[in-house]
Amino acid sequence: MKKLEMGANISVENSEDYSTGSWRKDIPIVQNKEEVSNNPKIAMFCPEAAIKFVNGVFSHIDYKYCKGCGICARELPNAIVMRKG
Amino acid sequence: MTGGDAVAYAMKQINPEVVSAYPITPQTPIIEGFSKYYADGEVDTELIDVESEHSAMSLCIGASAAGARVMTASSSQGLAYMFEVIYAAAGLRLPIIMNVGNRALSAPINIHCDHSDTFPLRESGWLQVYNENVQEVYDTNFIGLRIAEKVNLPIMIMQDGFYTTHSVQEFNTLKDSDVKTFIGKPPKRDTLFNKKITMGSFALQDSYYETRIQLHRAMESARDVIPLVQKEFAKSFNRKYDLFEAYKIDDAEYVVVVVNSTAGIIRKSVDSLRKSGKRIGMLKIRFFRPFPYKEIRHLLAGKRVLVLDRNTSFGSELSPLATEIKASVDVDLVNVVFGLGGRDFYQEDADKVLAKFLRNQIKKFEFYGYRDDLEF
Repeated sequence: MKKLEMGANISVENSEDYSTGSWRKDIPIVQNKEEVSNNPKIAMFCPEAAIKFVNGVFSHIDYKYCKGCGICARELPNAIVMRKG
Repeated sequence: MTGGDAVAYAMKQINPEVVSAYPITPQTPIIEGFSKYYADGEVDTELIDVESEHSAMSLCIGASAAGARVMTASSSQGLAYMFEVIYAAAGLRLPIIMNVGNRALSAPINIHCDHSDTFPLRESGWLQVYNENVQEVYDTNFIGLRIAEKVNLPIMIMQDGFYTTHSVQEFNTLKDSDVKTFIGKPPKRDTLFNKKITMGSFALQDSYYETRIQLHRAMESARDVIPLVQKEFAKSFNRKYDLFEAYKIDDAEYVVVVVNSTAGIIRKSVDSLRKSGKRIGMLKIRFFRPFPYKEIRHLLAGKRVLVLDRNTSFGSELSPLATEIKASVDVDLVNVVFGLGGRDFYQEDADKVLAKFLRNQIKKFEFYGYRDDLEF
């Protein structure tokens, strides 16, 4: 059970512990990994920096922090789609 | 000393880490007195001048959040100015100690005594205690500090503006070492300096409600803490304080309820009426928050009650003090409003009102002491 602290204090050691992925309603699904790799600028569009590139190639979306805002799907509509959940 | 000087002296003995206040009559002797101790190097306090009471309370919140023992003082318009931050202090559960010299609220501007400044703040979540005289307000600073730090709620300590703040009375002080021993070190709590926390967060519809219940529980827990602290004070310093003063109530048929300095003359009236065989007593409320409704229900059951309010709630059948009493105990209650804006209430006024009370001639709600030579 989640605990409510006195004064609604939030004890999170640092921002890495703060899982913004819990805020999600819709989830981005990558349907075309190659197209994402060909558009590395997409990583900068993500407000949570959740689109991970390794050695210049698209790796994965970090769903621990992805808030489901849909910006990536809007920018690369043929590569990324938003699904419920 | 005056009540103002006595509080300044109590603050000096407490030696809080931070004080931030803005001057307003009749609180000024408190902070001027403390400023002198500060200027003379007699305290270790960080005394911070700010541009308004809103800023003063904001600064107190910041300092308290960082773990400091914090004190401040205000009255009337100053209190009103810090309204939103007063609620923040309680919501953030910070044990800030604020002394208040009760003064009327504007408009029109009036710098004299009535209780309209602190009664509206009864909803805020602050502990509230009213003090009759210099001895009480001095002692209650130490008692109040202990209670506030135990339950993690801020506390407001009241005394009548001018009648107590500016009147010189004899009283017994405590030794510096005794004060240090009694108040001790602040108990451990989460602060910005000892834990990685966010204070002052946002709570949506999904969690705000529960924080209010937490605050409610803390206020309720104070009911047990207050008598313990006051008992300890009595043991160490031989001065007994209770949630209220029940004066000759046991066998009384009639009881007068009052707060602050007016209790002094009511007590005298009660004594002289008792001499002529009238069974009358006085209930002087000290702790107004938490309100001792259980004890009052027991104490006033079956009595005829007169509540003297030095403030009023426009549009309500009764004034605030009377409303709280009536809500606690279902008795034959009448309410007299007096002394607004520093209209003096002398011994003869008390005698007159109490005599009328004993003749059962007071209406449910009445204003006493207004002029008949003024068209209004």
